[in-house]
Amino acid sequence: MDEATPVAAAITVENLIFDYPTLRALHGVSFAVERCSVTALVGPNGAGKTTLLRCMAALDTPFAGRVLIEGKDAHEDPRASHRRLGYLSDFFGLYDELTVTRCLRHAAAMHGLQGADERLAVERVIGQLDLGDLASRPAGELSRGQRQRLAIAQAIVHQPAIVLLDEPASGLDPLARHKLSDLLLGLRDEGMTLIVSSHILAELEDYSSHVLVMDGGRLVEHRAIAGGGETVTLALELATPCADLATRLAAIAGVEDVVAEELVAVFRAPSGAAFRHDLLKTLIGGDVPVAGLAERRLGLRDIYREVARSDEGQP
Amino acid sequence: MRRLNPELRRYLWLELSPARLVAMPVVIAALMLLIGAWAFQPGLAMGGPGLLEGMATLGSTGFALIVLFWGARLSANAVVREIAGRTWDQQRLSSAGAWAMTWGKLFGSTVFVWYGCLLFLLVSGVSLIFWQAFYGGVSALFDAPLWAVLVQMVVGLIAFAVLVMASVMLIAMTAVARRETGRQLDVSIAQIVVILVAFALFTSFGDSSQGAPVVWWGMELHALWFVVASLVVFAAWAVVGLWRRMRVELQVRNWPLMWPLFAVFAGLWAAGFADGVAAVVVAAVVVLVAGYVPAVLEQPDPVRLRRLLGALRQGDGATALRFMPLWLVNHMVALVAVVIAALVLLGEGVKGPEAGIEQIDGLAFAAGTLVAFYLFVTRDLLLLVFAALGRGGRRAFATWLLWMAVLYGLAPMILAAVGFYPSLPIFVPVWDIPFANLAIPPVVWPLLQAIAVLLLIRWRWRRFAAGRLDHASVPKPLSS
Repeated sequence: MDEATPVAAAITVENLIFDYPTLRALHGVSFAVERCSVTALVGPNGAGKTTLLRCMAALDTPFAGRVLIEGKDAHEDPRASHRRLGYLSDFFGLYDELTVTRCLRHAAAMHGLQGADERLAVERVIGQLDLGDLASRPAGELSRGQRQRLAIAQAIVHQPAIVLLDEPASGLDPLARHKLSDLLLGLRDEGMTLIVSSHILAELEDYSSHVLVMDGGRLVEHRAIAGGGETVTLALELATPCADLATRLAAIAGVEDVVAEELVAVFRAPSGAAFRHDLLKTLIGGDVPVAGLAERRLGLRDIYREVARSDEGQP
Repeated sequence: MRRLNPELRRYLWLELSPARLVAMPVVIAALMLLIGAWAFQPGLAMGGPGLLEGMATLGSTGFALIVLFWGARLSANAVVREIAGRTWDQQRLSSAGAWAMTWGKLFGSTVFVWYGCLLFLLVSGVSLIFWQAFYGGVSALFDAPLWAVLVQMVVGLIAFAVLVMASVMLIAMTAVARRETGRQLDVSIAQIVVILVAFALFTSFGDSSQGAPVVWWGMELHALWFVVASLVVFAAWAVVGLWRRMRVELQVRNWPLMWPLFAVFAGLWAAGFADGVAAVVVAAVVVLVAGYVPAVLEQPDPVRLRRLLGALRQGDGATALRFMPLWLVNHMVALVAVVIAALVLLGEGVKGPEAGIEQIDGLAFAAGTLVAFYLFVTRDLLLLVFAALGRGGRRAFATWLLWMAVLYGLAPMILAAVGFYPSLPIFVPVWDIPFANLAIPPVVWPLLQAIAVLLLIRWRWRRFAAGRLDHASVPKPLSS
């Protein structure tokens, strides 16, 4: 085990560079993904999301850098890392001629499950994905939503620790998307770590705990989405404008990333009621015309706008 | 209990339906009836011996035909269909090993053809047994005991089938790997190539059944046993090659040694048929020409070349060897073989004092021509790299083929047509002194051309490296 690698991370990506013949698709991407988290991998078309996922799944070999799956280099021993990984490609990868049960038996057997283990794994995943009524139907006869469920079942039949999903909700109707959201949260609760790639932000907001923003083959943001972290985003509302508000807020220990407008200031600060109490006491004691203080839950769209704004050089 | 190979099991589910299991013997029985009706027609009056000989021929010929035209197609399509159906990534994501995948795919994708092969073998084997038992036909025709003929037939045909199916799968996998989706054209080309080679093998199999002994490395060997043994060894090489290709597909790290080893083996095998110094030359030429195969099938990959150059710059020999293209390693081995062969040729010329000055000149010229041949192949391989670095990288092979046609076909033909025979060494390695301009050694022209192509590659590499797109753009609006 590499001493420099925190074992707590489910996936660690270090300085990943991937080249196509005439294009560098990934430019030294580095990040670590916490265990039991759901990370939304977002970015415009061509941002490098699928290339990143394929490198993480050891389907493609990067030009440089490495991917550690639970501390082990995925490209040193891809077959071993595949035992710990499930991957749903945007094309599902189903054998249309095989029945649902046989698709799953084949997927389980290809991951080394046999006999009773294979049977139990298939029964479990059929129940989990609600595929019981479809068990004897050929995959080629299923609707898109049903095929997607079968593809997810294939990806998790061997109970991987990490699941990578590339555009899982593409082409699904709203009800199917809602069910997908419940399913992914269920997998997370079972202890799986998920990375879900999409360029549609709305579908990711319900279940993601972290966000990775890619653009032009570069990682432009990686952070936890509000809630559960050591710091939170707070919004301070004023009754009347205060000229040096930003300076006064920045001077308070623990406050950072202050963005102040005429009657509102947004900043990062330690979570917890005690800090907010002290903050209010300080501000009111300093004659700041405070009208309210609230925690702001940033959605993916807010984060993306924030990233886009900072990339364009706006405050 | 050992579990069934999952890939083989998937193909068993798909290929062996009850209806198909019944259909195959019905078709074979119909063919047997046809042979029977033909053997007993009044005009021929061949009767029992003719019928049994016809059945034995039906069995072996039927076996070969379904292997060539059906089995080869299925095995070539096995991975190509997976790529086109977007299931190949799922296979690559499994934790099944390369060897399990290799034999599961090789025998699974063709399991129905193997079922037919087994039935044809039964027809042939039983016919031979009855033919020998009632008429003594086998020992009369083959001049060998029945058991030997049966072993030769069974082992030879099975080795032939494995060789054909593994080779065509290997060629198709290698050819489609450089594209995003499988292409039927690659499958067809792979099948045609293997069918042509296999026909030559099968013909030699048939010819050697009654022919004189084979002289190989000075040993007199029974022709049919030699063909069978060669088929078995080449089939094993094909399976090893397929296994190595599967390892590449599964992203398992490989050393580029298997193809050069095979090329050396093929060179030594072919050299066994030649005499004296010719054996060394044959071995060198086979190793040299073998380099075209991986170059054409894999085609130079600019990213891989960049990795190779990066590793070389860092002095990382192990990584450099891992990313070294097969054709390049093969070409380095070929250099050793060509140098040895040239030295042997020169040595042979010097140590023969009884030989006339003409013979000494001839051997020296042959050594020079061999080196020139090496340089021509060097030029050709470099031209393929040059084509791969061009804007139409995907059309590199077609472009390269056109250049080859001009350099080896059109240009020498024009020179010959206008009577400039002494200038032929500019374009082709010339073996006959009367056609060569001895004032300029034959190695000069290909050497100059190889250097010129190398300079062109350098120029294109710089342009290629500078022209790479760099996506450092601001985030674009997302849909939500």
